[in-house]
Amino acid sequence: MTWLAIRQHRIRMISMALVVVLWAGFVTAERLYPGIRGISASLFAYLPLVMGVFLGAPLLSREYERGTHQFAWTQSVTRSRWLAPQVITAAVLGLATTGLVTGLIWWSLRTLPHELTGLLPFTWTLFAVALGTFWSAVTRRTTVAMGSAFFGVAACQLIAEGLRNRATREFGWAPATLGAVEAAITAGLAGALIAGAWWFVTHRDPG
Amino acid sequence: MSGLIEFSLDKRSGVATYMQIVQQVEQAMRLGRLGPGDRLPTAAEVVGRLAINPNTVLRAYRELESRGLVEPRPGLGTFVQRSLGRPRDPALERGLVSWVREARAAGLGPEDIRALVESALSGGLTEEATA
Amino acid sequence: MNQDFVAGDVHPSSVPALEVTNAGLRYGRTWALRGCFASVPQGRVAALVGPNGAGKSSLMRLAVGLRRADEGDVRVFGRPPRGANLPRVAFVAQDKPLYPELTVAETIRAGAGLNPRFDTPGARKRLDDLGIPQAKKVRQLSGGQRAQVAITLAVAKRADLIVLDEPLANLDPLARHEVMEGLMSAVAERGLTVLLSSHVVAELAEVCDHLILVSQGRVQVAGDIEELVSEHRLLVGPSGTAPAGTYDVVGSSETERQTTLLARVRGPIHDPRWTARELSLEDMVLGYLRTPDAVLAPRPVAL
Repeated sequence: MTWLAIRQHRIRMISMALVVVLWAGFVTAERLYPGIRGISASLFAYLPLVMGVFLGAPLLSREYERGTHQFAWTQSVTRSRWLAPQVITAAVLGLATTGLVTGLIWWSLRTLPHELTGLLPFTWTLFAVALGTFWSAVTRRTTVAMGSAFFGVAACQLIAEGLRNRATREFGWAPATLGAVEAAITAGLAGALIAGAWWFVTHRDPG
Repeated sequence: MSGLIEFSLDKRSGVATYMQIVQQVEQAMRLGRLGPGDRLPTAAEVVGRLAINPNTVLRAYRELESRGLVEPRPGLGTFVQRSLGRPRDPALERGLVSWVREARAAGLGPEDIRALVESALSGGLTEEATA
Repeated sequence: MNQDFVAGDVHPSSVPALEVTNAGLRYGRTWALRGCFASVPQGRVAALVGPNGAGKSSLMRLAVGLRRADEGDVRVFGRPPRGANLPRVAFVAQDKPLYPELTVAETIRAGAGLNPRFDTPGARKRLDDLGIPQAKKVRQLSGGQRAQVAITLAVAKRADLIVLDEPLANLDPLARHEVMEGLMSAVAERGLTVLLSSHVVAELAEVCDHLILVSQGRVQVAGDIEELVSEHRLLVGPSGTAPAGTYDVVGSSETERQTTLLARVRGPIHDPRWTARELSLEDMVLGYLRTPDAVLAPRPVAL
């Protein structure tokens, strides 16, 4: 079942490779034209959107739309055993992409802005993939799940931005504390969303 | 590996499918196309050509077994146990062939000929009628 | 493995392959099935027949564990079709859903990965025999080839019950014949139990030996086809009367002079004014379909 999950992610792997190539382009441009220095980091905010929309949202809705869940869920393994490698493959793919992009940015800038420090880029990736997967399980429609994931991740980014500013201004939290708390919250939410998606797959019967 | 004979079905005959298979085996045995020791096609081989329920084939074979014509050998297949064929009689066959030729020449079609043979078999024709 | 088996020897167990007891299934507030009773003994090829929308697909989804019954009980070889019992039942859904971007060979590999008992060499050989190129992508296959791949996967799972939802729909006559040949060969070789749905009765007569007739979300009648056909009679007699004897009326029609009854008889009809005519499977099924309210399915005495 792991093989099937990886095989089903082939197109998404190619897409993620293109994302890395894109950032390699940004970074090269930064080095050639110092005037645009910082663009690779400032565009990083869009990466979680890409993760939610392209890695999370299609995960289950593609099965429902093509009826292949009827194939996948009537083999010898339980739905949980089928779902685990699917989610893990998407998550690992997202984390690898995030790691490579973060590495490129660090190589170019030598310093990293807040949202790129420590575990934060990785927990945000997990959160975005999980949110997309959750909407995928709930809506069973790829386009709807993609839209929900896009606006969901964007809204959460805005909320996080606001909370971050408030925590710094009113409570005087140090950036390191802030980063740790934010990482813990996003990772926790990712876990909760995956649990929700799992519940929908295993407890709500397909149409 | 295919069997020595192949079955064919007449879906409009009204004869049950398993009975058609029984009759075809018996006919093949009478005509000497199947003799003692010959293996009947397996159920899988039959249904692979006819798209019928394998239980139907097994039922036909059980019927043949109960008639003492065939014998299942576990793991090997179903084998013809005895002979229904009579030794060929060239004179008799020659006589029939020439009679059929005469009937055709007299303008009889296959159905007419069959009806005539059936009638003779059931005693519907007497010596006077043919005289 | 081209050897005959004797059904009784291979299936010593008397546990039915499928047992549906008072099952109900709901979509929102609408009951797709309610009060369904059916049982398919092991080694049978059972036909699930009924008009479109009668609940055939719902019953199949219950049988393969895609859905849980909202009421009642569904058992496959004595246990619910879930968890450790999943390997015993295979499903070929309507329209044969497979991953279109995978090649046939990759589809087999996926099947092997999802099923511990999967028979990869058997599946490859079967597809070779059928002349289906394994390098082709599933989306490039014809409808008949796709059906064969889906059935091959179900057979290679080495399940003991295969459930097929409208396996012959959207296939041309040759493909229909080939699909049935392939399926029946698998039945002969593996001695498995089959439940297949169709709304065309004619194509089932040679293939099936068990019938489950569904209408309006209930099982109308179920049982061994030969027994059912032998029990049903078309009774014709003078209008305004009923024949003496033990029987259940399925449907009736009346003219000025005569009454025609489709009945399941439980004993001889001793009435000189009435004639009893035997029915074909198709006539019997049609009789039930014309009177969707008639329910003669056997029910257990106690639940």
